[in-house]
Amino acid sequence: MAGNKTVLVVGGGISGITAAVEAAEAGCKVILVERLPYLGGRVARMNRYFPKLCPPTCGLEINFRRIRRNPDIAVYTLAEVENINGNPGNYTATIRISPRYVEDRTATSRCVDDCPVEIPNDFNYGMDKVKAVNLPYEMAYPMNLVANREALKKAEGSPEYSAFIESCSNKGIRIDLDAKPETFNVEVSSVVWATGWRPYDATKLDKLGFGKCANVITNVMMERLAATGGPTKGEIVRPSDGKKVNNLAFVQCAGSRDRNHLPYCSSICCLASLKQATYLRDYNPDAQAHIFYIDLRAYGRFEFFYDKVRQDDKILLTKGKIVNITEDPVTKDVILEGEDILSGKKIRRTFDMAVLATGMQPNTSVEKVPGLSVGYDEFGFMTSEQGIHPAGVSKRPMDVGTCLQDATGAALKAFQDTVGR
Amino acid sequence: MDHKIGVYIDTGYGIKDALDIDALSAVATDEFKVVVCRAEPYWTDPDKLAIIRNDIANEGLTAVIIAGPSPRVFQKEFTFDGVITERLNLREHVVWSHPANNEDTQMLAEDYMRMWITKTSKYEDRPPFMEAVDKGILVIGGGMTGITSALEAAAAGYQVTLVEKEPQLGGWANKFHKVFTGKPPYDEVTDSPIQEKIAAVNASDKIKVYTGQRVYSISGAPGMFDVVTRPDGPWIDDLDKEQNEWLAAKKAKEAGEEEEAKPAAPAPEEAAAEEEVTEAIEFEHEKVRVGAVVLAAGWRPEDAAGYSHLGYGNYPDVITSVQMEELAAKGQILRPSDGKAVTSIAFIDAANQEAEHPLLYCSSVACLVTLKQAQYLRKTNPDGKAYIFYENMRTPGQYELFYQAMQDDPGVFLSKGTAVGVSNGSSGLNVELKDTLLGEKLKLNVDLVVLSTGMVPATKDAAILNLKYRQGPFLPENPYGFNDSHFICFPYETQRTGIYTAGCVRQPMDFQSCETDAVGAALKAIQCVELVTQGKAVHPRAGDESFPEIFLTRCTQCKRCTEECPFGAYDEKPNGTPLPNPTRCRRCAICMGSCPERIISFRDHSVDMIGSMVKSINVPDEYAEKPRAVVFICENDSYPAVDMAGINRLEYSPYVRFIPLRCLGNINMVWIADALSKGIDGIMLIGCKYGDDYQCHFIKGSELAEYRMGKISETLQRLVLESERIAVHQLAISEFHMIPKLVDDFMETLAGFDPNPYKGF
Amino acid sequence: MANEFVAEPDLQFTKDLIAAGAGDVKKCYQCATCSVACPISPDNNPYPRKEMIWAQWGLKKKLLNDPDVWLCHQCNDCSTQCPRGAYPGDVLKAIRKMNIQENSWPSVLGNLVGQPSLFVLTMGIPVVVVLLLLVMNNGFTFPKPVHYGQFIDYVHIQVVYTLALIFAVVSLVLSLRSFWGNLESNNPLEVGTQRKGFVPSLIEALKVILPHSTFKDCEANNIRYAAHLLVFWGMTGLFVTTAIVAFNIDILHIAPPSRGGPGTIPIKLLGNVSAVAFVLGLGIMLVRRLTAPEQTGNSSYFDWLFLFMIFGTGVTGLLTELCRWAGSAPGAYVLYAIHLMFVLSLLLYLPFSKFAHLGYRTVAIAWAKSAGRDVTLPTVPNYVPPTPAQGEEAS
Repeated sequence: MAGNKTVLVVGGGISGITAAVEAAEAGCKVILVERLPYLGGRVARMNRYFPKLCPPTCGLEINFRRIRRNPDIAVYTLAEVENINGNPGNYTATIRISPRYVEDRTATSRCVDDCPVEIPNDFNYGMDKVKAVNLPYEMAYPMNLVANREALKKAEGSPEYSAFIESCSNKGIRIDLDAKPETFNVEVSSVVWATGWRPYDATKLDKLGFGKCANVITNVMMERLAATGGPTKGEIVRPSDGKKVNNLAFVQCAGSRDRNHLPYCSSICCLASLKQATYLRDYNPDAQAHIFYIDLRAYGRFEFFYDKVRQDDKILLTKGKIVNITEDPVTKDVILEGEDILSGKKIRRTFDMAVLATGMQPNTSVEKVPGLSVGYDEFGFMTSEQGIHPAGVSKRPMDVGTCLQDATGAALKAFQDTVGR
Repeated sequence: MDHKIGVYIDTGYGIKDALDIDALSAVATDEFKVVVCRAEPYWTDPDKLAIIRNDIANEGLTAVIIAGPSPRVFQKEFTFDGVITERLNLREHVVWSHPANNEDTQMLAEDYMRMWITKTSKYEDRPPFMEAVDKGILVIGGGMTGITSALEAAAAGYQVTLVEKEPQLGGWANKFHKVFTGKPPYDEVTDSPIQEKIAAVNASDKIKVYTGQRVYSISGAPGMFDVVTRPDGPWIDDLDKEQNEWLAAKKAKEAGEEEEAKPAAPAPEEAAAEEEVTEAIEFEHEKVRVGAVVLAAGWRPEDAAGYSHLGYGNYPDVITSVQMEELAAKGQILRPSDGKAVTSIAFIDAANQEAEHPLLYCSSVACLVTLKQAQYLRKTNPDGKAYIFYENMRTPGQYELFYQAMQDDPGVFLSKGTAVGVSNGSSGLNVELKDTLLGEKLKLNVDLVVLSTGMVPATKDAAILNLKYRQGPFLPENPYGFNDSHFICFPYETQRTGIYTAGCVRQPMDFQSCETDAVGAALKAIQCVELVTQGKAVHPRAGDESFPEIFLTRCTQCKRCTEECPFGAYDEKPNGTPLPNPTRCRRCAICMGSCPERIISFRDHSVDMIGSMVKSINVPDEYAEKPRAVVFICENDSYPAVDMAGINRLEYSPYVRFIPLRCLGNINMVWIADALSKGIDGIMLIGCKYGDDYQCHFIKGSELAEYRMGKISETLQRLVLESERIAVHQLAISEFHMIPKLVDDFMETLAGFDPNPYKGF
Repeated sequence: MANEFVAEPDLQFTKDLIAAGAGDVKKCYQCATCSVACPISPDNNPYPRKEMIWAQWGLKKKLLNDPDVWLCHQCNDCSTQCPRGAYPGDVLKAIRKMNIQENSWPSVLGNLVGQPSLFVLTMGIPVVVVLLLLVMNNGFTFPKPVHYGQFIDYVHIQVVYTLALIFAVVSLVLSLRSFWGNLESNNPLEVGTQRKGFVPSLIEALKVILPHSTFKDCEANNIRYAAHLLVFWGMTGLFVTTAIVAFNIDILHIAPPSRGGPGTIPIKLLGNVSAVAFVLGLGIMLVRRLTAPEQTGNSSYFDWLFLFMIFGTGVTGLLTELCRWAGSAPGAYVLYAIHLMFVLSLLLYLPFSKFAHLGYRTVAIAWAKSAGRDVTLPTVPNYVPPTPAQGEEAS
């Protein structure tokens, strides 16, 4: 299906999906390539969007339907672009597809409950375990199992394992750990690069206790903690002892706006914390959330949301960066230190749990576009304007809505390449 | 029409072990006499698909029913050209959510078989609507956004008509002194790139520019819009006045209806239908036909009257950020009052006293503009002092680097602070602030005070689009007054099909964002003309070729369809009957539900079709103690949620029968009557959340459903039935775990009542 | 901070500060990391965050009367953790320099010492004085065995140096009085009115100064604690030694240790041990400054001048001693002369060079004690706001 008039979209997160369907519905042929075994990327792991507090799966479902009903979109998961060469209007891309190691006719995790091997659940940021053969999440697209070869290899030969293989084949599920990856080339007219972002590594913030204090988590983990599909089935409880969280602290600019970490502002963390404060308040009406910030950046229409959230007198906002987080060795409560700037007093307060509002780091800061020389700024955001079209957070930190405006624009740029100017 | 139906039951996925397949097949073959009915495991296997294709060829099947996994999977496998394909969800909705080899589970499966065969047999054969042919694009507004949209659409090969009210192109980008580069190292401002863009527009043979013109009217529909432009003049003020009066009347009427808690409101006056367009126009004008519209009318400065507490209006040296741009553009900054060279400025990020959300209009850009303007002073006057007071310094993303660059300037003084007053000082103005980083109260003497006032969308209370639509001339705006999409996932959604907004009519934004936004809007416009010219719907049912057909001879001119359509698809004929505009239609079928005469139908979705499905349910008599309930669910969110329940093997009462709808707004009163008279004990509706943060993809479908069910209770009284037999629920797609509770609680309620007395009639 | 405050930013002052080593002060965006990172900053109105914005705003009056800049021991925990690279430690140091110059009497000398361009003149003065002494003592003969009394008459030295000392002490006391006065009258931190008296406060202050107990808390640059302790006590030791010797000669009229007078051994012991400690400590500081600037902070002329004078004093003193033991008369005499020059510069510029910090810091700490600055706020469990939706975020 490759050839001219085809657009290659790299990255199956919400930006990539949008670029793909928008281009396809305008008449392009599209190849959508995603590294993970499912589409949806970061937003698939979010609980709700600000400012509407609606579930991301709602929009994803519509987009998956748009993909399903559109014969012009080819989706490759567990796929990576190894190399690109050529020039605007005419590229050759090498795509490598890793095997799922399991063949099924859309089965679900419940079909493999009897799998004897368990692995940490990446989808939940390792906060719980899953079977080594699983459906990445309930609404995964494509709805197919994926197997962890390394984990299963270890169990091979054991009676439980054989029994499991047996029961699988009865359900029409075939596990093949010897499957080999395949590599092929596609000819495309244009490339949209939407490989998105990763949360900044919180272990680098040594004063903020992540990894040292049991009850210090990051904002992306908080999303899973609040999600019904999450490790606690939506119970907002603290990791150390499963106690219902009653007072929660949000630590803004954990790594962002900091020359020792991410010098730029990640744009969305303030709003994310305001949003997550509402998770806690919905879950536990007695609970109190306390947000410590330098500047509260609720830009544009989000001012609306900000106004709404701060009406809640159990959501407190204090201007002043949190500098130290330590742990009470007995209660496992976290102790935060900072200065309340407006009162000019140092703060030392204990909380059940603290959420670090870690920032967004573009994946292109670590993994560049292979084969071609493309422009990046000092932080690794793409500055390319020709042929390879960055979309979403590959360009700059953005909220989802802005990403999708940007991705739709990238779709037109790609469309232009296919018609040739 | 009569269909030759083939039924293919999938026995995989544990279906065989849970159901009596022969009995199920018997329903198809004996009760409905379908042409073929086969039961095999995994119909997705290529050789099995071949069997189906053979049957289609040899038996001349016109419709195929796959009874197996949810339609949310294998869509591509189960696509047979020229043949209707229906998917009966035996897996998620039956065997995965109910006990195996159980009488009730079997009854459930058999009922679904009846319902889906009935549904399939009701398909009609109608060609798509192919009359819309024009692919031109109208761009309203010749500022940065409009020009960018025009250039990008032209670059993709489309004819563009660009209308600008000013005598020349450029808009604010012309008036502004400097703009941000948006490029590394992100710490500079430059001259705006607008001049090159204007040159490119003039050079393009695909762009026709009308300057000094306004849109007088837009009638028609996507792929066939008729646009009349007219030279700018006093007429626009009259039109503003007229339209605002119309709007006021509409709001008043709605407010009045709030008490009766009725959402949809008829327009106070019968807004124009197509006749007006055909009527002769006796003034200078241009007429163009376009396929889609990009609305990039931009913004106007917020009325600074809300800043009188800070001396705006009293002191000439208290100015707005827009006035500051103009001052700076003249070179050295001189004080308006006495022309003295300005050496100190206080920039104030202040709250508009008259606004409900004081910072809403400026919160995206205020801080950036302020920092930029501080640089104007410092560049022109080395001893100049720029004081910047902010609530929160908002410089998102890489703009942080511009903030840093300005911080480094020793002549720029920054602090958080809330201005409380401005008064006349010895040699200039005294500014008073509170909550600063330098103390609770702060006084300052400056030459000039600059208030960062915000951007108001040009469309606010102004005649811009001038639509000749039954539902009025405006594009419905957001709760916060912008023409922004309500959907995070679909930023270009509007309630007027084929009209897309970009730039500051949508949100306050900087030039860079405007340009990005403009490109996306151009793509949506292109997409729209491409789809409608193929007779297809646009988002969210992109590609749907069905469209509403109205059996007008039975129309009673009740106008409900014209009023309830969320997209203003219906105009009105002189005789009061609806005038459909198929390319405006988004195929949500809310009109179908609104019609008391049941005369609106789609080829694959009709009142009769759903009604017949309900009637085809096999209702045991009252002694069987097997109650029956019908649950209408929205196919966008609730249906997947029910699938999730199945995937998680959540069990719930086998007495309910789910019927998916395009939108809960499809719900037609007659189905309730059908169900009750058939002896169904209860009816439940599950749809998307509504209210300010509605999640309904068709704006108010679920809300309308709730409203209609509200009205039906007295019907129930007449039938001596408890009103609790009808329940409406809102459910987000992620709340699948709630389904068993919703269903079982409802069955619990019904258990409290006698069986529906109409059973067996 | 309830009172109203009229801001009259002094752009020049900000520029002077920047010139004095506060080059990155403008980078601060008031996140307050520094105030909390500082292990010795008080809980109420902690420094250096407030000093940073005062400096950005050129609020001369507030800064020059701010005792907190003297509570800072320059351990630079704030600078290493600052997310913007504003180096609060260096800013406070620059403020301290301005502070010394502002309060110094006569201010002419304050400016002289502060100006890199006037280095030659600054050091020239003591050189000339000592040369004059030599001339008066009929020139440059190196009689053996080494006997400094024959080289330069003790009386001359005593006259000159006692005068210098008296001048230094008087000047410093005057400076400090104006400093203390400013603190009392301006009370820039608006701390409570009830105070302890000066003397009890001073005693409290000395309790922490003599053992350097607060100095210990620094993390980034804690070796400086040891170094400074050595220098401090070494210096004191040498001063005592000198005092005793002078006392022996003038009052008791008995031979100094150099001529084997009574008590030679303990006196020499004290002197030499002190000298070694003194030089060793200085050595550490010097090496640290040259090798680990990111921890010591950037070194300005003001720092180098002081180091030069004090290090010169120590080294030349020690070398003189060594030469005498080695029996090299010329060496001993020449170094002795140079040593005298250094000692004189040290005495003369005590109130104007960085040396003055011994006075200012003592006074500032005393004031802090009297004002009860060093209260520690308790850790608050389950914080509840005083009133619902406290005003802090109302915008």
